Amino acid sequence: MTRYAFSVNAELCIGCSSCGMACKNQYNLEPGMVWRKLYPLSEEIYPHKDRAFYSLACNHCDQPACLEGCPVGAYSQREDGIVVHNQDTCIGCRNCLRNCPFGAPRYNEAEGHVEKCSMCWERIDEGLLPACVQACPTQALTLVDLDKDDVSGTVQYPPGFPHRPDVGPSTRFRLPTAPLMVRRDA
Amino acid sequence: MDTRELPLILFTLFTQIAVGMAVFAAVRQWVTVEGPTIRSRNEWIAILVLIGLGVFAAFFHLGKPLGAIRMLANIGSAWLSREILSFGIFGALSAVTFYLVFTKASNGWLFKVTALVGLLAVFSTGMAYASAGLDAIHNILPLILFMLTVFTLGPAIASYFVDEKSHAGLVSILVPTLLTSMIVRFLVPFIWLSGSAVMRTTGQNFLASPLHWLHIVALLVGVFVVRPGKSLPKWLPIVLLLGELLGRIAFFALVASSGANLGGMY
Repeated sequence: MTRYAFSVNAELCIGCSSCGMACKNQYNLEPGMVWRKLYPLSEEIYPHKDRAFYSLACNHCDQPACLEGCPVGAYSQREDGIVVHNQDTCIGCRNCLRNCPFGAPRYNEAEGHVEKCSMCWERIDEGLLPACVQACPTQALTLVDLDKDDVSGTVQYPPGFPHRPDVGPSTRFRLPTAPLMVRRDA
Repeated sequence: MDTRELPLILFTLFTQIAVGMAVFAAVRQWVTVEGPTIRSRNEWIAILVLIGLGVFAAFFHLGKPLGAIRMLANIGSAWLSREILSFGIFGALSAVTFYLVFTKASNGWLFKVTALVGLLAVFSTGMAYASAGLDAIHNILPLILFMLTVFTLGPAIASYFVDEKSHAGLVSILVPTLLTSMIVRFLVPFIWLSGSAVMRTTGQNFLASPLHWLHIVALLVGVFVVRPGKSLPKWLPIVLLLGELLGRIAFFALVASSGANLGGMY
């Protein structure tokens, strides 16, 4: 079996937003629409002058609340875990926006339907990487197979991310370490 | 407030008033075996109008209103589908009840079944709004708040359609409901303050909102005005309706989403 997931290494992420831009380019998203976004960690979580980031999109959960609550069945889950949203079936009731604990689905006002990250399943089926993963210059964002790849040392619910085992987000995180401090002795 | 939520505010409020009126009509029928009258005919017309207005308003929250019929596609897991189905049945039963009242052949069992289906529909609404992404209401609270609206506004609005003698029954429902509603709505934001960061934000939003406090004031007015043995003043249902409307706006506008705090403390 295969269980695809995004892996976010906050130690390597430099906050360049290449991932989000690649996603916008891949899908020609409307102005203002984002499927992947950078979230800086608050100072309570990462109290340093340097900043650390999580690059987040849909977490392709094990028990997706969006799929369960969608009245028209616009969501489906593939065998490899990818949660796919069918924009043609969606009627724009926005119930999934209320249901997703991670704020992943976004409402497209112009088209009257919801949109979200599809993990570029069409690219994956062709043996390519998702656009965001391919665009990441530091390899902070990677695609992993939770059933085959070694994900030891990663965290499912890091600080700054909702602890929601009831939906089981697939994204895995490597936490940022404290930046190197160079002190000049007086 | 996101104005796109306005249709849902009207849908939930109107349908809950309709259910409350249907419940009170069934209770009256049960207790007094009231025959069909002009007033009860008008009462069922009002119930049908409220359901119609609610459903009509609900269409406007959809990005693609013409796809509304597909909302029954996921009855197996989506409470929103179940809500639409149950309100559809409630509307149909209300129409049949109205027809029987109109033809003076009203049936006590139909009153009870209609009221019961209405309550099940509100139960579905409560479950549909216990959204996983809204920590503060991802629980039984929406159901409790919606039921309190049913048992507040149902009897209150029904007072326009019953004679003075039936006001005693109305008051016996309203007194405990108003008191319970006021206490629950007053306490809940303080309980939220003891929860996670997202719940605390919701609690702070409510405590800082005039919408919330005006709702409490409207209930307080009701608590002081409604007295056993006295009939309901004509202006009170309007005050209670405005209070519930403000409270419902607060419910839709002030509950913080879990996803809004990504990167911050939870």
